[in-house]
Amino acid sequence: MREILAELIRDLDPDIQELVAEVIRLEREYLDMIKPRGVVQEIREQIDKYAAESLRREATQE
Amino acid sequence: MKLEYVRLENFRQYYGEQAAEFSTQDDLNVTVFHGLNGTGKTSLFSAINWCLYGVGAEEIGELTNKAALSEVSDGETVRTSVSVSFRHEAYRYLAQRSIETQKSGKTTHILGPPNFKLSRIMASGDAKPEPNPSLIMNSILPENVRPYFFFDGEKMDDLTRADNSEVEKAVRNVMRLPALERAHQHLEKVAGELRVELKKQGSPELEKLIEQEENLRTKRESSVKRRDELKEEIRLSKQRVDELEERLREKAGAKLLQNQRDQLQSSLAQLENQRGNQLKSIQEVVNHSYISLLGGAAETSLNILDEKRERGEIPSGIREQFVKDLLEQMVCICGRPFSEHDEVYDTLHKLLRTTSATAIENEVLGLAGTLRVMSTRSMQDAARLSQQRRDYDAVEAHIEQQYKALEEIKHQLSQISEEDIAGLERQRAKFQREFETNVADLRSTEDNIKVIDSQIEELRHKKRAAEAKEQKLLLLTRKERIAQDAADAIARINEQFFEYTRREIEAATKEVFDRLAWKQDHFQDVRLDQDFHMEVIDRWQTPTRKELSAGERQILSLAFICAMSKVAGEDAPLVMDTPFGRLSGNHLSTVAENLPDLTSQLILFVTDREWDEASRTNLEPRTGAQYQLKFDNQTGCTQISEVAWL
Repeated sequence: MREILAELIRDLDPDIQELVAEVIRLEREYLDMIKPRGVVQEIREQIDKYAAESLRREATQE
Repeated sequence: MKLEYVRLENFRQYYGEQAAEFSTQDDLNVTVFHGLNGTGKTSLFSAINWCLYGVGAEEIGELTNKAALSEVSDGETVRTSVSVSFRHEAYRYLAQRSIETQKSGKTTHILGPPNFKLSRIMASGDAKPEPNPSLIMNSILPENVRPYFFFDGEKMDDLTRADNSEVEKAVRNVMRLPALERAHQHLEKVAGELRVELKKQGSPELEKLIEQEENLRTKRESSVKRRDELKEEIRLSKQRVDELEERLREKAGAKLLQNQRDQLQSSLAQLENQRGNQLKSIQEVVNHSYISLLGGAAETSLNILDEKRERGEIPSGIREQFVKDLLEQMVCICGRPFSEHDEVYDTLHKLLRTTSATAIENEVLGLAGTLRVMSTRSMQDAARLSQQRRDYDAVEAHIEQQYKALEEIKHQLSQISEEDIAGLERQRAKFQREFETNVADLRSTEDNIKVIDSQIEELRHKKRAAEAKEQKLLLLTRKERIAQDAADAIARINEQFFEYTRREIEAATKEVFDRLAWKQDHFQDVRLDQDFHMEVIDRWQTPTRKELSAGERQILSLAFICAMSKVAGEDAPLVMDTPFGRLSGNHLSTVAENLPDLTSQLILFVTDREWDEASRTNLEPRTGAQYQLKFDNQTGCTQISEVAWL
């Protein structure tokens, strides 16, 4: 089933593939916690990181 | 996860320290505890659950052994603990849960909350305590997944008897789908926050577009909420209809009519299915044979071509090359030679000029041929469609007839003088109406969501164009875009993954059920529909879940649990209390024979009656450890004794 999930992620736009995989991984980690706190903040940090990377990639291509 | 051993200390009827090792070998993966009723099988089963998750103790009364308590003085305490050692992936763990019980006259008090420790056992034998034991335990086998691997066999058929929400919940939890759902919610939240920031900093044009998008998303959210509410309402009204029909089946005065209704409903379901298939094949013929829509057009076109040819407007088939040859040889078609001054020469030249170019001529001739083929195919397709239409109409008429018969039954039931039958029927009709209205509402809500989605998509394109103009907000717009795109992508993945999982579990449940049920020829199929209704189809292609015996329901539940475990790739043991209580000879043999192959480790707590010839014959070849629970009447305590039969 992990492979199926990975396949579905691979079909996504390259700009968001890694972000989606990372968010799912984070959520799985937090899901097992008794009192999960702080996942939204971590997701925001990931978005900041991938948005900056996406702009950098675009600039390099141009 | 593979359990290695359990050690009890003054737990319930287990006095002092007692232990049992579970078999962990691949070929001998079964461990059996057997004993008479009341010897402590359920206590031992609960001890494992209590130790690992802190649950299950509430149903078995006081945890501390009474004999141990009787030996201490007032104010003194007795320690009660359970330790379970297990392997998970590359690590060995030791879980320990304990309480201190203080004696106070004839009463007792538990001092403080239970103490739970989880240690990783190192190769050296050292134990390294995990700082957050519950978290680690939950990541190994989540608490909400546990009930599908550690369960009371007698209550197991609850899964198939229960409404579909329980089945859906099981699939979601075992497949860890809540992680995807939460990922979607959280990304939506972040995207929303980023839009607020963008609105503050962006141009009026962008602000307007963001506002429009927000409005659409709010609309979508409320439609999704409504859709989920409708699904729940549909489930509840269906459940109520089923319950009321069950009650009608129990009434002597209504039983016959209700049974007729059951048959009609099941035949209606088949007919509607047949109608759906017919519609699909009609669509297929129409899609692939659009020529059939030509009707007489091909025939008419051919006639027009022939008429034109007769009038000489279209070449009658005389080839350009043939006329050229005559002119070159200066010999007429009748064999008479001619010269450049003859009338024949002029006629042939005129003919060459009026004759269309070869390419056009060929086109025309080709077109005529194609039109003839099309005309033939059109007639064949029309005949096929007409036959399909007749079949479709016949099924439609049959469905209408069945509906009328159902109406008649409804009428008859509501006229029965026995007050409760008429009352039950009225209630049933009310919930059935609710069910039907909600189903229609659900379809329209789902359509509405699709429309909103396409509007959002269109708006996001416009927004991208507007964002491109705002260089200063480049990073912020990119963040919002990827957050929203990721949220949308996860929502899609969630739906696809869930559907894939459902289909995989459906197929695996059927496979296991085929192995476990002895009436393989009778039960043709197991279905888990999109709303998670589990159904068994019999040899007459009719749904038969309601007619399953208690044993068959238990087997269906077991098949479902094994299927989930297989699909999820969850390497957890199957720990079952009273697993065979409801199974008769044939089922007991097939279950005992097949169960060890369906899980990596099987731990059974069986009564002496369950541990009969059939189960022993089938299970002993796979049993690596066997224990007898012996209750001592004099001490009121139970001893775990290993059966030295191997």
